[in-house]
Amino acid sequence: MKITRIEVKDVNQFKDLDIDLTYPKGHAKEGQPLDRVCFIGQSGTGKTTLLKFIYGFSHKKEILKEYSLLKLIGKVHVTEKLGNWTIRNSIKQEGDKFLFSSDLKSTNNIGSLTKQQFDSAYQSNLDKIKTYLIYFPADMKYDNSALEIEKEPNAKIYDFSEDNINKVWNRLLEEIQKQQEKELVLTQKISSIAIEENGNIKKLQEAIDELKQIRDARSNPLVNLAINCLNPILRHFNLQVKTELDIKTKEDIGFIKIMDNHGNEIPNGLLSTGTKQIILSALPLYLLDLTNTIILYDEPERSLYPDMQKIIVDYYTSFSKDAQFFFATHSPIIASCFEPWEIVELKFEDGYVIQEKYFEGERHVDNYSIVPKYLTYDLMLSKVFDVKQPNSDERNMKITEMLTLKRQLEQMKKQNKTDAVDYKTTFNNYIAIGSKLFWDTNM
Amino acid sequence: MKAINKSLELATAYKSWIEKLDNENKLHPPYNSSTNEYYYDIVANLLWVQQGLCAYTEMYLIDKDKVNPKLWKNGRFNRFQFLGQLDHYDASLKEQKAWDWNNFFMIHSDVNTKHKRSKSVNYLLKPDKGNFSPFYFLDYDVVTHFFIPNVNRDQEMITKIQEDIFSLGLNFEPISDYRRIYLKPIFEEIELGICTVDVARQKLNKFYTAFEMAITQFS
Repeated sequence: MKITRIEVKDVNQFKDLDIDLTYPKGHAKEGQPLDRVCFIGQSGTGKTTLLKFIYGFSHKKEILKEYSLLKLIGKVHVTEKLGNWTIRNSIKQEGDKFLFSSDLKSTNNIGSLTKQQFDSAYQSNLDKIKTYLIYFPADMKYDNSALEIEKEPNAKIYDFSEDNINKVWNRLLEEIQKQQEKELVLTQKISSIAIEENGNIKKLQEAIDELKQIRDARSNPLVNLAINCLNPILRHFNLQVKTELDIKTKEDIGFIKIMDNHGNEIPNGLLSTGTKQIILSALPLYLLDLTNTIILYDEPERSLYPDMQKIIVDYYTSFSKDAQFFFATHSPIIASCFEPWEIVELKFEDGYVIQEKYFEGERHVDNYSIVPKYLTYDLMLSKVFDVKQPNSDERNMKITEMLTLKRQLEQMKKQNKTDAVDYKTTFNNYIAIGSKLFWDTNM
Repeated sequence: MKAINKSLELATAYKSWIEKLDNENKLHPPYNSSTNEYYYDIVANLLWVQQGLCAYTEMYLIDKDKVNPKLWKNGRFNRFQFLGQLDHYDASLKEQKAWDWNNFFMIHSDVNTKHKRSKSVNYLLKPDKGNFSPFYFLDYDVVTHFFIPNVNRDQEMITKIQEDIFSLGLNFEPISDYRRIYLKPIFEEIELGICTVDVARQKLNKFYTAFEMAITQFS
């Protein structure tokens, strides 16, 4: 399931918003749903609201109750695509009740189907999706209490504003336990060889090799998790996943163990907020089937240093080519990771929110005038985020002072006064200010 | 920053009102922008004498013909749409002399709301001051499109000019950016011989002072 369009008319700050979420003309995937979308815009423009509309309308969820449902009737439409099926979701009222309504269409040859057969055909397609949606709110909680492991093997929606991370961690736990049992059996075998067979060197070596093989092998779920999921990102924090299963019971495994590059285990409580956030938001992507899944990230930049913000979008999206990722962000670094047609910029105009378009004329890849990937972060701030003054007042004033010194030096040079004390003093001041401004001070 | 002849010949109703207040040593009513009876008269008169430009940055605000003397009636001007805001040059006078004509200029909204606010001024760069000449105080850096002080002045004055350049937002970043974007292609055309200085000068509708200062530096 992927979202192709969001229409909002006369709801709060939205007067007439119509967001096309398909690839533009001239793109190899023209007309297909975008794989990645980035919502940007100042606070209050409705980025989180759009994420919640996607969540609520596509999966008919209670999450919309925080908005007055009465206000949404017939005014919000979220259109999705699943193979040849197109579904336009909205809300209607029947008596005192508010009902979700879906206008279902298909390009398949289904002329002979009854309404019931038609709906059922669609439902069977829908049922094939293992994970409908994952929602990562801005204020994710690092709650990994091992004692409250939830078992929901058939869950299709993961909302981490409510769900515990153990809802997905539990899947791995089972595999870890099997692995641990194999290790325990081998450890016991080694002990018995040592005691009962007087340390038969050959047998002992064979058992040790077998243990080594199991620990090193790809069959160790923690090794897989480390290599394919967390270590590539944790290395930026000088951390890695602890893969040794030196534990006695399942409860001992608890949650994932992280260690520094010297092998020292870091207690979960001491991990940085950024590290915890990465672990929480990456694990579900690694452990769940993401085919046709909608994944929503609200403020993924939270607690992350700029170098991490730079890589986080590509990192998350690398987990699936079949999912649709939505990011709502305030970060120019995050936004710079997207193609222009993947960015939905919301801004206020005459008190209402509109979508700022980056193309002129036809929506064609060649008609986009702003390409975030080509811009410096300064330019991202001024051209995309509309920050009118990227320089501070202090820098601006210092530049004026430095340019004045430069002009004085040029004048003295013209007057052949380069040997004068004044010239040297002025030059030294010019260089000193220039170096603080990181300015090219070539004369 | 062009010199401005701030004659108060159009808003005569306002002129009578303010002169009466001052002659009778009465306090000015508090500044309440557009709710004042003479607000649009003041704005229209200023935009006319400023030739539709921001008094400090020379950003384009309005076609000056929209406020031309023919449109006035009995010293009054009807409510109208315009860009820019009414600024109190010396913000410290806003309390006591809220409606003082000598302290008013029309300026670009960004400069007024995002930059100048209550910053103090040295009265060196005051475009309506008698014999004000921007060339005496200012110079222009064509690489950065920043205004700088005329370095032929003494150091004390240079420092004060720098402060005024800052307070009045002459190098306020979006403005210097707009100026660079507007003037750079024009200067390139002149340097490549595509256009003469005179032809380029005729085409200008803003940033006249920066243009004149820059062309003196061309080889």
